[in-house]
Amino acid sequence: MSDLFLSSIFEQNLALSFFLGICTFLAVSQKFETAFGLGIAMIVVQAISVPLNHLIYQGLLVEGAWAWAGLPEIDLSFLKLLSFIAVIAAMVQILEMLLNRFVPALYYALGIYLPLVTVNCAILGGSLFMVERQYSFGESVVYGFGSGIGWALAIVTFAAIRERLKYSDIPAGLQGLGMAFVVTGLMSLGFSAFAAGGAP
Amino acid sequence: MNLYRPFSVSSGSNAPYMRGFWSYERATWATLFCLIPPLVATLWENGGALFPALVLSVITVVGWQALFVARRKIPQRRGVLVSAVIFVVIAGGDAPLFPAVLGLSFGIILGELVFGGRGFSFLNPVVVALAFIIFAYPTITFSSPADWLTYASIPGAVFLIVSRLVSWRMLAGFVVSLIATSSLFGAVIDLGSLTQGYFLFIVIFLACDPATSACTNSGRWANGILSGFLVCVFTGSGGAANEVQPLIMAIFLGSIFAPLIDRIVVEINVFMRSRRNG
Repeated sequence: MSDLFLSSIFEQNLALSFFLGICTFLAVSQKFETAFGLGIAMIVVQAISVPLNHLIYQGLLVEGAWAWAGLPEIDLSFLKLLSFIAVIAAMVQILEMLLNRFVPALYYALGIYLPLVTVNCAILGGSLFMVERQYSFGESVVYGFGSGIGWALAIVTFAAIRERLKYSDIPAGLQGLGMAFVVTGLMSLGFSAFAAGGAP
Repeated sequence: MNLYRPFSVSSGSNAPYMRGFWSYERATWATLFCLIPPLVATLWENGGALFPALVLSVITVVGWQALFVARRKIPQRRGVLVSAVIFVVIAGGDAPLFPAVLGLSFGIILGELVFGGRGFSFLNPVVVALAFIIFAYPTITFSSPADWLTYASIPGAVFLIVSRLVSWRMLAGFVVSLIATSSLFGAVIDLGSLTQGYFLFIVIFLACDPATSACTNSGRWANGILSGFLVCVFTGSGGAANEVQPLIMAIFLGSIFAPLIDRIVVEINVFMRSRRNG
């Protein structure tokens, strides 16, 4: 379990190994505070949505899930994309209402990007990996939490680097997004040391 | 909140700024002198076979910088020579010329020049170059140098630490964390390797690079501890801590996390002060 937890943070970092959720990763990393807030939001959404999707998939969608009702041949797993997206959207909606009520500063700072977590590929990717790798419920809890932390760690580190680079003398054509891509590539090069199994 | 000086202050012919006696030029000259013994030791060991690599490396870094100076009007710096020498000492004997030039070009352009030169980047170009070679050419292995590379690095190391061009906190954090992690997990690393091979050279000239490690005092401790810990992780059980690959990748990740470490240190400071002073 701790292996899975660590590998989902470092070795299989959703942002830096799979390049999932890169749209938000690049767009919301201008300021450390916002990146931190979004990272927390990602951890919460990911840690809840992956286990929740696991329950829904195993309980309702997978082949044989309806055997108790006398329908063992029913296989609804083709609905998994649809139901996962619905679960994630509902989750984000609830989170948004909670933030608006209790942490309005963060709510306004995140702005449009909080609803965008709904369509963040890292969130959907986490749930799909959970199905593909056939995690048990316990594993899906650990994986959801770990991969959320991994993504948050990546964006927070990235935002700190971007703040540091704010006053670098970067060519006009590379300023902003261009340099963000270069830095993401360099970070990913560093993180591939974990994927190389320790001995690159 | 802004941790860094605005560009109007940090740019100009004197950038990057240093306080007191040391200017950028003086620091570069001092580092170059500190690098002479290790370079001579390496050239001696290889019996002159390293000269083509040395010449090509210098031409590579000077050439790319000349292009950036001409096109981008960044200041001409001798700091690139430091990068070339460090690169040759580590990789000159092992990497064939083409991968070496390719890797060094990648490192110097994407690791330094594209950010505006030394001090503006967050990664050491040699570390980027070596990481590039490690992943692009996995068949290249870095053979251990003779032990006198360590002895030859000692004068430079002492000078850099005494003159405070290199932070002793970073070095102490690195070594303490390496030994502590290693002992905690049951002698993961052969500690005798700390006095042999590349260890001292790489730690002093790459890990403690002031431009790419944390710039707050507590941050330097944290940065050194993180890098030392990662060396243990990457080395695996029973390994030696003076292998190039784990050292370089640990330093690479240490540099990546350095701005975050600084940021956290400053946030904690702000919090403590606001609590103390109300």
